[in-house]
Amino acid sequence: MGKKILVVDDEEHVRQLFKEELTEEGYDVILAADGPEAIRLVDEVQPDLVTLDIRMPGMDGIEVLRVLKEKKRDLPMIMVTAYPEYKHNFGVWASEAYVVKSGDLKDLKDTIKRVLG
Amino acid sequence: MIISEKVELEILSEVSKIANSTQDFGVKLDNIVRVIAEKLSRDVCYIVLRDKDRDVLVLKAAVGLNPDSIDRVMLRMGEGVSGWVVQHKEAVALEVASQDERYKLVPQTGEDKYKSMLSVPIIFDDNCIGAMTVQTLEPHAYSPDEITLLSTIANDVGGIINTAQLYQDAKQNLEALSALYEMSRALISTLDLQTLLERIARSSAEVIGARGCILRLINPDTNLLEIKASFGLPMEQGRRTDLKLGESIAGKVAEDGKPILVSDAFESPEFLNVTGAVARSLICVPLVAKDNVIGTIALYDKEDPARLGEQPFTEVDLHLLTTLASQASMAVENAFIYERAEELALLNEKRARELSFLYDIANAMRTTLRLEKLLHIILTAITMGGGMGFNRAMLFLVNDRTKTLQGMLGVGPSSSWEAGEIWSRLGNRPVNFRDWSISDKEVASQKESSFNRTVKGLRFSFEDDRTVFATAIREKRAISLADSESDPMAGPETYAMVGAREFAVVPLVAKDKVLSVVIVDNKFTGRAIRDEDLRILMMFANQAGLAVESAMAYSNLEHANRELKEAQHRLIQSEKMAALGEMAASIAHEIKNPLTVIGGFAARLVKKQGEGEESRYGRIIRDEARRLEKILGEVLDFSREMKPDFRPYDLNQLCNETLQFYEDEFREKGITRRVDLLPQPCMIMMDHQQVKQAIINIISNSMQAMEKIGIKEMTFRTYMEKDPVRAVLSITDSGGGIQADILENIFNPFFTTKVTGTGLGLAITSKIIKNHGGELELDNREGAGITVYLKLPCREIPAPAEANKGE
Repeated sequence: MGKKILVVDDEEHVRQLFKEELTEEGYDVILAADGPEAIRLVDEVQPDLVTLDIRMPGMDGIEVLRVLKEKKRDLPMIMVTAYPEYKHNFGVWASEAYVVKSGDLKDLKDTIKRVLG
Repeated sequence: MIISEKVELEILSEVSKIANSTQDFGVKLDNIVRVIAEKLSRDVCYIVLRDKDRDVLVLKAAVGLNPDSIDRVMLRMGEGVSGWVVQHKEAVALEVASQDERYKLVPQTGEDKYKSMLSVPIIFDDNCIGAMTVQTLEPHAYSPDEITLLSTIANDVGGIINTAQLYQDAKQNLEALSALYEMSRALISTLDLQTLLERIARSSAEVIGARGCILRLINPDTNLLEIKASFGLPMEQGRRTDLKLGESIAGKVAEDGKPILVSDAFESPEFLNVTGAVARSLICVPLVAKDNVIGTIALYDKEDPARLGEQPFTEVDLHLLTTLASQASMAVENAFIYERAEELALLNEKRARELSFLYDIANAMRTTLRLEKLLHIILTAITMGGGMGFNRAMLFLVNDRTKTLQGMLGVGPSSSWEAGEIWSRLGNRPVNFRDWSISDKEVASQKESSFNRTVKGLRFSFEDDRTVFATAIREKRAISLADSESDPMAGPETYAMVGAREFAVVPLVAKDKVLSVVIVDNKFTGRAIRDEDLRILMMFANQAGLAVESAMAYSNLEHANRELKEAQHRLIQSEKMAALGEMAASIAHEIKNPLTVIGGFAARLVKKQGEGEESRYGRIIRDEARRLEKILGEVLDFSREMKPDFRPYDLNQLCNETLQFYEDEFREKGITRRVDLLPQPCMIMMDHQQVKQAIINIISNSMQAMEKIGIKEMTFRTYMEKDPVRAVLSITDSGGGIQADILENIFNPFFTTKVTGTGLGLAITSKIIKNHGGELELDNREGAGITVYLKLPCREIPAPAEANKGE
């Protein structure tokens, strides 16, 4: 049984891509479509790592990051977003890493490996 | 006895015929003595009559004596035979008159050749009013009958004489009245002093029957009697003869205020040939106004048309002239007053003209706010015929710092030949005061004139306080120099530069400050510059100064406005860019997620398919998606607010670091590299990462440009630039340069000529350098290559010796 990764993204196809790619890498991938679902699932499935999209309707990724970090201080989280500019936003400093979304998932996979390793 | 009675009757009949004729008194007497001499066969017959005013006997008519002596020969009572006869009312008969002790020879009568004499008193109303005398060439003893006959005739003639005299008096009074009337009519018809004086002279002479008249007035300034008008006399010499008071007859009359009558100037000690014409008799009376003698009127040589020839003036004439003179004095006084009033009116009119001129100029000056045109209007007003009419005007700007006057504009001809040309042309053109504003064409022709070019080359120093320029500027007043060459305020050098001996310097004052100075002269006409000219110039200069000041203010305002407009334009431009950037960013974001999905699944497809035909399609999709991602990344990089992280960094070091990065690639592509850097560190406040990015962009552009070119060469130089102090990195390639039409667009974001790439490279580079307060400059040499200059502001200047290095 591999490490559990909770992927939070409001776009279904992105979730789908991440699930397939990361499953192939040997991870157990759980998906959440928005912030509240992610917060609920964290308690339920006890993931080893969370990837967080930032721009989501309702609760955005930075808010979700804050809530989750308050709940589980040691749970590593990677911000995965299409927007490079959030990198300088102090709201994301609490996260373990910041990855810009790309069709090439190598960067993401390397980062997950590094954070979990 | 019978004979004598017959003769008496004949004579009396003739005499009464004469008496009843309408002839003049003098003519009647002439005819009477002629008849008596004829009928009595005497060689001489003459009548003397008493002049009641002077109590003398005057020869009134004669036959056989010199006619010239009539009215001129006078005897006192008791003097000579006639005097004795009148005094004693007794007849005297002498066979040879000259042997009698009572006889007195009057040589001018020519009586010395007559021997006998019979003189009888003329009695009327028991008064002896004169004597009648007959003479013969040969000695003759008069019989008592002859004595009685002449006495009887004389008594008859006495009545006739009295009646005729009464008639004559009445006639003379009437003549005097009509003369006065004539005179006053002539005098009131004009108020022009000169015309009036000439009329007085003419009327006086005509009324009294004189050959000529001279009217003199006392000049109050010199106290001399000056001839003001004359009639009937050759005047040219006389005009120059001004008389002092007391000098000559007129001078005496003016001094004493009393009239003078001279019957025979030949015998008068006061005779003076003042008129240049010989005058024998004259009367002169003072002109008196308000108890002051203002001049004299003198009449010369009475002429009686009825009696032919010249005769002396009488008391009656003197009296009449005195009356005329008092009338004339009043008229002259009135004319004086009118003349003074007219002078004042003229002065007022002149002032009004000046004001209207200044008003028109002011209006013209208001037609423009362009300094250049305004200066042309000002100088045109000074030089134009309808304006102040100076020959030339030159305008100089005052430089307070260098204490110099710099020639700006000159209006006027450059030679007297040109002056003639211009003025004859202007003369034909009606000067329109309302139209001082001049056309641009005129401005242009004034600018092209050779005089203007000369003036523009002129420069005067006013460092020396004594110069006319320094004085005019300091005292803010117009100064004119009559002879600049010898004047201590100018001197030969200034004279040579201005080119006119006489000129005036006029400061244009605005708000207590002298901004410019105008030099005017009359080089060609040589007309003197009067105080009056300076006064108007100064009035005008104050107006012009204000106009120049506001034009200058306007010009500054215009300049500021232009700068503001440019700044606004730049702002709009950068806002457009920002809006474009924002739009690009938002589109990029929208695209990014689907692109990630496409690219991601395409990659999965490729992985699952292995090496099949279908996987080739998958690879294409994957690669294209990645290219799109890259483009989006660049767009986002550009639009994202770049907050530079400023720290001191050595430009040389940065250059070396970047070149190190490219070392391998340069070698691979065969690019020759030349580096010429400042020997000492060149510290600049910068975000070195951003500047590095800028350099990378330039190098990668150059490499692409040189791809298909044989000689691949890149030169890197650093050097310092002064004013403002900037460090420069220049990068030169041999890429053949950029076509002109493309060059315009290379800083536009998204513009590219490359097959690959976004075109954002140079735009980003430029933005980075601008963020550093620097400038990006291009030197494009089509066919050769391009040099890019990165100019960055530098606070610290390296060693001065090094600062001169480079360009």
